[in-house]
Amino acid sequence: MKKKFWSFTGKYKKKTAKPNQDQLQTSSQHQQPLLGMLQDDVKYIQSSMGSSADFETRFFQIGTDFPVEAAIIYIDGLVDKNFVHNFIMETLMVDIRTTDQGQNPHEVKDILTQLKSRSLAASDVTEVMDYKSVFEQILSGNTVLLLNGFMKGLAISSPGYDSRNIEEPSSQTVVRGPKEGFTEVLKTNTSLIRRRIKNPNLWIESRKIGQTSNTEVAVCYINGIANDDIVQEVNRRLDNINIDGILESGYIEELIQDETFTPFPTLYNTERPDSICAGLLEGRVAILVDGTPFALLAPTVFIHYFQATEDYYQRSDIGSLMRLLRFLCFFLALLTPSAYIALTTFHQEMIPTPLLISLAAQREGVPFPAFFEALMMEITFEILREAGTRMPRAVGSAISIVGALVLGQAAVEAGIVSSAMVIVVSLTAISSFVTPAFNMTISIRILRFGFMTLAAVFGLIGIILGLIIMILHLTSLRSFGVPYLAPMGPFITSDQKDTLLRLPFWKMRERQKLINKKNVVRENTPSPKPPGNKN
Amino acid sequence: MFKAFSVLLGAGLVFILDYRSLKANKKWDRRVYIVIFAISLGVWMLYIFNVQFPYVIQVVEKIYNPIFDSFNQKLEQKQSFRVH
Amino acid sequence: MIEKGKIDARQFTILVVMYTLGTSIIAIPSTTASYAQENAWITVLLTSLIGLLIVFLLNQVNKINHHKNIFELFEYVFGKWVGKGITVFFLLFVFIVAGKNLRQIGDFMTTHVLVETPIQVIMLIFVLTSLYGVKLGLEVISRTGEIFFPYAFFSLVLMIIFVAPQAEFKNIQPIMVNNTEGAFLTIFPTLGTPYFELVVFLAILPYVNRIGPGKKSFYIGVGIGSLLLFAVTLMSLLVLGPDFSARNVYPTYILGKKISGVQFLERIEILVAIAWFFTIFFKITINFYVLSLGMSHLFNLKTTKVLSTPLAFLLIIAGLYLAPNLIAYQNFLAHDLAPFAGTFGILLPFILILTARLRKINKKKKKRRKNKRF
Repeated sequence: MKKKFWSFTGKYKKKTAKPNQDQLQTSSQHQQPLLGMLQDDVKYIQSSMGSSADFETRFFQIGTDFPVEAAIIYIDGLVDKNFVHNFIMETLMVDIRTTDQGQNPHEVKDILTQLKSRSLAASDVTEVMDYKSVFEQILSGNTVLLLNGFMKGLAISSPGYDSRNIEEPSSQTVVRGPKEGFTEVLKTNTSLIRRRIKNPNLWIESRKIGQTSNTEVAVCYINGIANDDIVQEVNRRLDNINIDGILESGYIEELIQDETFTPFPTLYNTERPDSICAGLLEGRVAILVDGTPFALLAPTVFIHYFQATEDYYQRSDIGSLMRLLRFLCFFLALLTPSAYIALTTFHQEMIPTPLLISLAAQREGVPFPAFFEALMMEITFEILREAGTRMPRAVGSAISIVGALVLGQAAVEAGIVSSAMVIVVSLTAISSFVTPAFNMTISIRILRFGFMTLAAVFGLIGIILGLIIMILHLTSLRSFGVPYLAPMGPFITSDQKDTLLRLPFWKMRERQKLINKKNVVRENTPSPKPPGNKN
Repeated sequence: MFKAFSVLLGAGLVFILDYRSLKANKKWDRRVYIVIFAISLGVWMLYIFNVQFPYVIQVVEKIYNPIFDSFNQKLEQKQSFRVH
Repeated sequence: MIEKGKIDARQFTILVVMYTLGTSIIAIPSTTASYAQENAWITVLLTSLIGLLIVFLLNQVNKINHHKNIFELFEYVFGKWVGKGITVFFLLFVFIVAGKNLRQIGDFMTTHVLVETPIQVIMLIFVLTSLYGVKLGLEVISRTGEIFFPYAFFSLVLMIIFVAPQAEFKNIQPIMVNNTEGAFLTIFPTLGTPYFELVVFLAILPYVNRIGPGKKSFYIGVGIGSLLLFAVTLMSLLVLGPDFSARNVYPTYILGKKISGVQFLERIEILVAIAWFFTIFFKITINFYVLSLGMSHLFNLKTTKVLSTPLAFLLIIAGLYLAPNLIAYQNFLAHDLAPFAGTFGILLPFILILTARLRKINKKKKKRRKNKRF
């Protein structure tokens, strides 16, 4: 049965991993161990890095009577300079003199261990043996200490780079709910998750992906809740990635999704830690990428894109109504222009007569058929929207004036479009942004044009056939083996509590069936009763 | 003629797009596919050039009428209005 | 096993309901009303009872071997070559039924909805949609059925409820006084449209993940479908009158036009029509699916979908060459469809069971002999 479940993912074929030819002239050379000659080592490291401007070395001596030549290496901007000054340099140059006076460092057998255990007041100190690890350490913001005559060095954890503060997420805002969003720093992001789920079973596996960029990617899941098969599958797909660089989680998303040829997203992305935590608690697996606030959640289902975290923070009746509203808006955004086209061109009898008369009066002066009118307005709106996201903030108000006045009012007055069309387009536009997930909005917008064409050719029947094709496609999709329309496509009665509606928590006793096979019960609070009623 | 040409063009297009999905299959599968495809195209060509086949219902009628004729006549007597 | 997917009992029920409703919901009220007049509803009621008996028969066929679909059963029971021969004829039947459904929807659309569009184009878009479903496989088709079923079901039920106030009981009175014989005679042609065609589900039944509920769901599906057919026939008799129902080719559509519940919602019959599009779409798709499954069995192909594309285009031709015109087609529905479909829907299952019984006895004897030897 287990095998059967995973055989669905067979579509994702392992591509033969050819080693990337344009890897940097790297590893094999850098594999060799440190020489032990301080000057040569440092010179080699420096030249390997092309004597980059941010590469810093500092030579000094440890001890007074029998000084040992030493050097620290770090990358300026990646390390916390105060830390380096106070806890590394000062310890090694000043404090040692006062504490270990008179000792001959050369006689002390294992000076590195001594330094590590006694002098260096840093939380994380590891030994480095070869160039490769030296590069790894300094590039991740650590300071490397090399001693003359030793074939080992010490890497002292000292990261401290400037990063954005934790701010309110800009893409998925809430009225009620936590206002923290992920930042670009992976460690901050994992800490944001840890702070919400204080449980040793929250496991975070980290790996480096991208031969050139060496981006850190973390896979988070709650051991015991997440489906092991899904975790394995995520790891397997991540291991298969062979790319030069990962700059955003979108790269990962595109490289590990089940189906490549689809307008619908099959991985959820969010910059809200609470959203990720909710996913983890449902048994999903989160993928966090260093350098971007957007984390991925897998597996995901279609319904997931219409569930905002706020549904769970508001009372259940409000949450349910908001959710229903979102579904309504999904269909409005998808079908309003096409329905308008179909009704005005093919099925006029369905429009009430007074409305039909006023519509006809409006359209009297319009030279285009309804389809072109709609197409024109929709494309105009898309242009406006794209301009709105890409342009500098300062000209924002100019665009909105142009959009509202020139394209809306003036176009109607000039008789290019009918005012009903403007209403239709604005309704579509507003509805399409009700969907909490932006990538789902994009797929709605793409499909809208297809539906408009179908409506122009075949009327309502075209729309219906388009819907059938869309649903067929959606049911055929899978996200990490889970059917995409899950609680509705294969209808699962127990999961309906958290699908179209959001029942109170004391009703939702079980986790989603298909995502999670073991540890199904999520809570068992008795339903609240008024205190008087003790039966 | 134009119709025939456009059907041929469409058939070619469908063949190119669809045949790709069979590439992984056995040789036998592909052979059967090509034969059925050719039959389909041939029948379409006949349709385009207005070649008259007997209609399906006429064939079925010929086979079953001898057996069920009496029943059908009886049924027809009960009809509220005559279609023909 | 060529088809590897599994569906569950509920999905199977929905497919059966869709199949029972598709096309017959348009055809049945008119055909029955023209031969049984005001007693048509009794005919439909009796027919559905016989329909349940047919389901019993089909379940018996499935009992021969739960894991084999009908094409495998042919070869299992009759031997390889005779089995293949019968498969050819059976596929011809499915092919004609699928073409018939396509033609029906095409005719309906060209008379009522898209009057100016040529029927070929309508058939093409329908068959292409079906083709996409067949390519995606049985699991996807049945899951899609689950999504559309609520709409199809509730819009039909709502239509029945909304037209109910206009019912006039004098339309079906006197009950069973005039033309009693006609009411019984009409049962046979009525069986033809959905019930004799149910035999195609023998190709899908083995893929239901549990056998017991699968059989039960077959009964439930046919039951729900028949109930709706009965309700629609009754309503068209009550609201439109037997004569009008008989004269009109699509009385159900006219029934939809009678809805005027809320003031501004007039002429919403297209919304009801959409409900049948779904059912007819599923009927076409199931037939088409069984056709390509059967072709794959016939030629020992690897997957079901290999031949689906050329078959799709052949189906259009089948629909076009089905009948010269609508009247001939209506005549065919009343006269020759039932015997034709009955050959495959009743006679063939009977022969299958009988042969299996005869040969199975032999096998059991052989087994006994073997057991004795040991």
